[in-house]
Amino acid sequence: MNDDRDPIDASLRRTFAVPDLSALQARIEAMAADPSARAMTAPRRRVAVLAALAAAAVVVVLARGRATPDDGRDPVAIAELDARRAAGTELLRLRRAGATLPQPDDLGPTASASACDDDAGPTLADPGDLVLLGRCGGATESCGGALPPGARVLHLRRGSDDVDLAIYIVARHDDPHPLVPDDADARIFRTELGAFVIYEVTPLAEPIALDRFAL
Amino acid sequence: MRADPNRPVKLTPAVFADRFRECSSALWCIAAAVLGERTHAEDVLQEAAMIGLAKLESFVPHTSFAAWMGQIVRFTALNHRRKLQRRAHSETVGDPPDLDAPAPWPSGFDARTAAALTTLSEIARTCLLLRTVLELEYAEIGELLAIPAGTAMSHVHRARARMRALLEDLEQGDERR
Repeated sequence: MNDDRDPIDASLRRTFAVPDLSALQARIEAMAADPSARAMTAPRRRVAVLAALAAAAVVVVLARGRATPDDGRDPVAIAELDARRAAGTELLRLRRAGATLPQPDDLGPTASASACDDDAGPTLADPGDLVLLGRCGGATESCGGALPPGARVLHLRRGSDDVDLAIYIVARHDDPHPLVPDDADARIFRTELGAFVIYEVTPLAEPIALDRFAL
Repeated sequence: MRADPNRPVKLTPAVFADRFRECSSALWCIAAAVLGERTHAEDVLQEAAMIGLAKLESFVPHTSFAAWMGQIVRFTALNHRRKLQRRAHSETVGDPPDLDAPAPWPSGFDARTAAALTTLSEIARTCLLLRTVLELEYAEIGELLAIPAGTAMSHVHRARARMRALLEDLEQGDERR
């Protein structure tokens, strides 16, 4: 039993009082109920395995010298197209799932929107009425899915009308050139900044965040 | 024999969410103890929950959910702490700290207690916080951390003694000044 008169015990209880975790518990319940949100945490290993399987499939097709199911089209080109579509689908999903992204410590319109926590990268230099609500990725974390390791995703919301955007930042040499179908619920806009490529995934007709980033 | 709900046969996402809710306070304490501070404990807990949800198949049926999840929280918190340390190190590049210089102690009692806590081993901190803050039984602490109850008790006693000695030394130093 703890001694209430012990100043050290009392101090530890004050300093490490468990906070209200109901919001976190609700987020976990929402994630548990939504398989797509859980997929966001897919480890890089799984991505690597899928990539290896896809590459192996291409090699087998090439080795057999047979036409692909797509009537003789280049299987490598088909694989690349599939990868671009997968990346596009992943970005659309991440925009929809933005609310479940890990939240930055310093929420607010002036929050640092560094591309990632632990290396240099584009920063939301002029946020205007854009609020940073979440982010994932970077050198030490993965956003999972079809996105390459090192990619970063920011979840931004425009304060005036609560429009949600996903910003996807990736090194130029890892650019997956995502493709989205015409009937998707959002568009993807692209710009280049130094050694980085920035994509804005938005339901709007025009990008509103891309030119607010700086190195 | 009645099935123990804390030792589920199969861990579905819904069961995971239920069990997580039940033991989230203890898991938060583990995160705070490993980190040595409370600021990032909730972030770590969320990250660990996401990892747990993605690895449901690694849960062994009929074992303790709290112990399984406690392990994930510990590893996640250790990774987080390493990341913070790397960042702190990279921020001090060009201005290397004097490693021989004693760290300055804060003046408030609570701040000193928190600082003294960081001088303990990670396992001792965890046992002490689970016992002191949540008033868990030693058997419960042992199950959470996969150590014998007697070991948990010994960690708590030694941790308290070490912190008491450290804080008394500091108090005496203050009086001499």
